Amino acid sequence: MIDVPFFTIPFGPCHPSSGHFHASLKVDGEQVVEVIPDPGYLHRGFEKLMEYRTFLQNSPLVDRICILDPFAAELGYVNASETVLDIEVPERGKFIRTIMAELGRILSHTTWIGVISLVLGLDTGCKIAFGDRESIIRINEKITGGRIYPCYFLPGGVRRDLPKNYHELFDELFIRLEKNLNQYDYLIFGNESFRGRLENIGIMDEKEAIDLGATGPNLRATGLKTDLRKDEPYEVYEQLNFDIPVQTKGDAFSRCMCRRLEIEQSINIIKEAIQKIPDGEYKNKNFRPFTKAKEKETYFCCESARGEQCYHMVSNGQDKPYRVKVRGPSFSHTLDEFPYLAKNSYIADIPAIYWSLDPCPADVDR
Amino acid sequence: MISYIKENLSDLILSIEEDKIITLLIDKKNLLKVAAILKDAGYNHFSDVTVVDYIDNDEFELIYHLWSHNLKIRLMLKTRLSRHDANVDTLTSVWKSAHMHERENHEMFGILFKGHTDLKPLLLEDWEGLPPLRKDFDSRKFVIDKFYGGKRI
Repeated sequence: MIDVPFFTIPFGPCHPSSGHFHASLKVDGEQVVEVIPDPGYLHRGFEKLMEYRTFLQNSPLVDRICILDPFAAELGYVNASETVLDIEVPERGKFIRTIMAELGRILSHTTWIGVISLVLGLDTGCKIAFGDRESIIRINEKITGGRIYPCYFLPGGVRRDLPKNYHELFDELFIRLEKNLNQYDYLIFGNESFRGRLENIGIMDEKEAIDLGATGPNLRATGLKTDLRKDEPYEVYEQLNFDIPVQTKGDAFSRCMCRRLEIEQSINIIKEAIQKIPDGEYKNKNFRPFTKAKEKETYFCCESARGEQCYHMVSNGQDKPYRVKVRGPSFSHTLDEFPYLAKNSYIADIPAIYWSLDPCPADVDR
Repeated sequence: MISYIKENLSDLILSIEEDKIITLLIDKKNLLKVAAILKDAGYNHFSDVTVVDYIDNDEFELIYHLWSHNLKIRLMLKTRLSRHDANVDTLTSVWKSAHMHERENHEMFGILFKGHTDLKPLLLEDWEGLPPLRKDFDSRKFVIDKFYGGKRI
């Protein structure tokens, strides 16, 4: 029997197909035998850059670690540096941060609906979802000043207060979103061809998911009810009522339904927080550009739209951090789960498996 | 949880503190034994491996972050290595998801994980010279030498 070498196809780093992530697929006919991941196209060296800049100068850098859900990355950095600098946050600042973090979650899930329907061939879904994304980005601009890179959170609070008419902005957005959510259910999630490409593909059970390092909606789709907003509450999530949607089957379609149901829960959280928000200060006035930190070490985790985003910060009494390590949620999803699930599947199933895990290549490389 | 640790591991740990996160400091030769005991106690989620470079004391500090879905308590496992001869046993036999994290730390700090099957570079390409996240690598001097010909404009 002659040993014929396998044919290699690149699942390449083009923006429409896989984000900025490259994987080599070893193919035998129509079946994929092995997937070899190859990250590194977006490595900008943030951990080394943060050691040369003060705590205030690092806040524009942190936005760019995860472009699709920037508020969660900022929230983790700001909470970790508040522990190290030993300063308190006023109550109004915490409420504003919670509202913006949930808005970031809705933004990330809407972008994901657009991208997965584009990649699987349903172009109409992409156009509707990106129209919703545009109205959320315009609210970002009115509140924070930046469309995609908001740079709004600060150690000790937020940079500026909410504008006076923010009730009307959010009400308009929710009317539009609730109408379009019915349209997504009819056009995308209830579509037979869409479901046929995603059901019973890429199945993993609970034990395998925990072994491979899954967090976030990927783990909740296997049946385990776990969420860092309830297990280790931060900001004001203890005062708000919300539910955690869970599916049991563990295939690609369950992961999609988990994300679809989280959008409604986030809308309810924002409505409740807007009613309960108190008046008062929005930032701590003791934080100055060259404030020195204490000698401490801390580890803070928050729940982003993709999973567990963690910051490990060490400081030694200077005004710059000594070491910052960022753990992105997509590190385990892209480098451990995707090769495991894509083994012995067909070439046409590869984009369906990859995008049902919702990766962000910027998280992997930082 | 602290009482469980004090009973079963009291001869292996050097120090223990608690302040929302439990921190254990152990000697590097007991690493595999302690890791197996902690996994049986319920710590099934492996979050991260980080390395801190204390260049004044001439040592690396290696920190493992663990989380348990049932007990909901976070744990940090620390060991110390010498800077000139940095090698430690791999933990891929206990937690499978440690594979890629150890590969990235080998590339950035130059630490050798004994028993790891695939220590190839992950993020950088064609890198020669000092591992870049060490404290004696100056990134501003590197940029001026490589891109500006040695002269600061």
